[in-house]
Amino acid sequence: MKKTNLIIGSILVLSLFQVLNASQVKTSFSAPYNKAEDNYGNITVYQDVDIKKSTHRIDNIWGKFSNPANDKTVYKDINTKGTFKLSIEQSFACRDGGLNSEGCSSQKPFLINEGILDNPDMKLDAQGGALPLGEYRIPFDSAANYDERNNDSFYALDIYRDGKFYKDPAITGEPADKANNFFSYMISFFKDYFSKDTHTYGSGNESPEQRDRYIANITFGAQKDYRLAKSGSIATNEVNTANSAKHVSLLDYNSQIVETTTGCNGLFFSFSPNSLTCKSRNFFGMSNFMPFINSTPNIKVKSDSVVEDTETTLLTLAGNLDDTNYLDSKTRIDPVTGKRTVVSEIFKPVTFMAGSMFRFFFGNSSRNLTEIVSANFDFKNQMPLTFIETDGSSVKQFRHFLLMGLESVYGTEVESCKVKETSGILGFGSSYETYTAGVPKSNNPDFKLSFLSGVFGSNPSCSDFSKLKNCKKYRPKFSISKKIKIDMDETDWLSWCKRNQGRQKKGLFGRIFDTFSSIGNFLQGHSEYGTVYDQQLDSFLSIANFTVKDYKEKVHKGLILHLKATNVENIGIGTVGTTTTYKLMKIK
Amino acid sequence: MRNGSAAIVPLFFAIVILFGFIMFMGGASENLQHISELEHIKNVEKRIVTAAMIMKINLINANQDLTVPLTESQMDAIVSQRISVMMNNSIK
Repeated sequence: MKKTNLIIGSILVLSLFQVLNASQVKTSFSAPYNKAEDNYGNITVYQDVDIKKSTHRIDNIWGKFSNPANDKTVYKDINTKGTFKLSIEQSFACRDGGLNSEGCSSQKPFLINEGILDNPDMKLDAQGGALPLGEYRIPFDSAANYDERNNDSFYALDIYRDGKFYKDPAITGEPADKANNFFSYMISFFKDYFSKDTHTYGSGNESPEQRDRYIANITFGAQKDYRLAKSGSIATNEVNTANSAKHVSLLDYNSQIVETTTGCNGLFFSFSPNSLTCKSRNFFGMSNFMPFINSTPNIKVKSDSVVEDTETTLLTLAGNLDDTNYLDSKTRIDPVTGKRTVVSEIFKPVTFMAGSMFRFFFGNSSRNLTEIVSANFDFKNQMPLTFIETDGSSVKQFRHFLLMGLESVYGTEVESCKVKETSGILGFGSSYETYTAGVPKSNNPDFKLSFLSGVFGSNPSCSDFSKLKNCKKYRPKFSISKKIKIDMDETDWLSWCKRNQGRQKKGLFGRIFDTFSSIGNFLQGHSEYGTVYDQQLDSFLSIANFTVKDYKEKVHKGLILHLKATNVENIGIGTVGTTTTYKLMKIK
Repeated sequence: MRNGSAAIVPLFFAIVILFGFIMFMGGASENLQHISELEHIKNVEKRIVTAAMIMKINLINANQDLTVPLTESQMDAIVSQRISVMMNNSIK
């Protein structure tokens, strides 16, 4: 009994001691309050910190010369309350990039027009199905196509930046302090999260000033001094004219598309010619898939370098946030066989595309693409992106999104086709005709089918080609054989060429789909007259002994961002991809 | 003595003023000491609330990487503990 009393007593004494000890300094935080969006799109919130300390001693100066024990002031308690204003910037690379917070903000250099979030086309997936509520697929469009009524795409903005916040110190000659190492930061960024084979990186000789600051603006957000305020003006009728007087314009540049002979030089970086990436790039047109890498001679990828830079920078940032090399995981090469192993998910057919993508590919006189596919990237951590919404002349509001993924879109356009007509049984007297997209041509040859009828058994008649336009069978003067006359325009010839070009001359998609046979049928049946028409045309021209001599097509590359709308309430301290800065507003 | 008694008056005054001055200076020193202590307290308060805020922000940021995230009150307890250690060790 005595023993238990002793134990209970000591526990009581101990716990009392603990309470006293713990109560000596007590820190508590209020719940965040007055959450709002500031004039520049950052989220601000207030929070109080309360600190209480029961006894607090201060040694005074005389203590240094006399008995310290006597010369001190003892305050009974400190009871202090600090109010902080916290600013949540939707940018996370600032500190890593060696920039101080002046170089960073929430604002990304992306512009959208009012009404885009109400556009039903933006709420559909690649197959035309509905996206979950609040999700959008917004394509990139170039500044040349900008119109304040375009509510179906986003545009790049040129926002000024001070040199020290994006230039390499070696170029500017400024002292190499931490704030200046942007490009060395980007090199490691790209190497870590993009490709180990990357061995050089540079902004290039022809790299315009605007390009460098655009990449910096995407990575870090606009510099604080040059941010756009609500109702600030944007010169949407100008391109690349940003200046230090907070003048903001649209952005466009294309000087980076430089023809290279090695084929392994990129625009943003170049690959070592001996690297695995470079050697294996012909596997299925890797060159066309890798951003910035120029193409093999018979396929030209027509691409805007603004869209390439946007894609690569966002991929790199997302890779950094997720700690994943997205390109690497999509294009892994088996070390034993040298072949790609995880490629089946790279290209996905796209059957629905907003009109803005056609506008981007072809300008305002939009034509139909023959095939569209996309390489999809889905991100684990959703990077916040703040877009600037405008009515065409000024900032209306800031739209907060989370970047769920991006789609690197490829669309082919037929360029020209050289057709060979073999006359005579041994192929003597062959003639050639070239058909070019957009150049009308309807002087069709007389198709001599009667000669071949003996070979094929029956004499083909117009009823066999019921779908073909204006089929006439006649026997010209001075000829013993009957001939057929049908109307074919250049688009008929080109679509026939595409189907009959032969494997070795297949374009980018031919090679992609040969690799992934499971979606091979996607290429078929795209004719405006239907598959029966295509079949009849194919058999007709085959009987008439026409073959494809030379087929050319162009590949266009675009970008679609997969975004999820978010609002001020969902963004707080510690939200992925944000940086919180603080300011002590008042104390006590 | 009578002549001399007149001469001592200014000297006496001088001594009184000197003493007064010394007293005044001593008091000023006390005041300065007091002000310095108040400033010190103000600085301490600023430093500890800022430190607490930074700790809280860092904890919130680091919280995402934990398999079992901390609750708000757990984070507050950690900050309180650290502030306590900081005040007992480095600020007196």
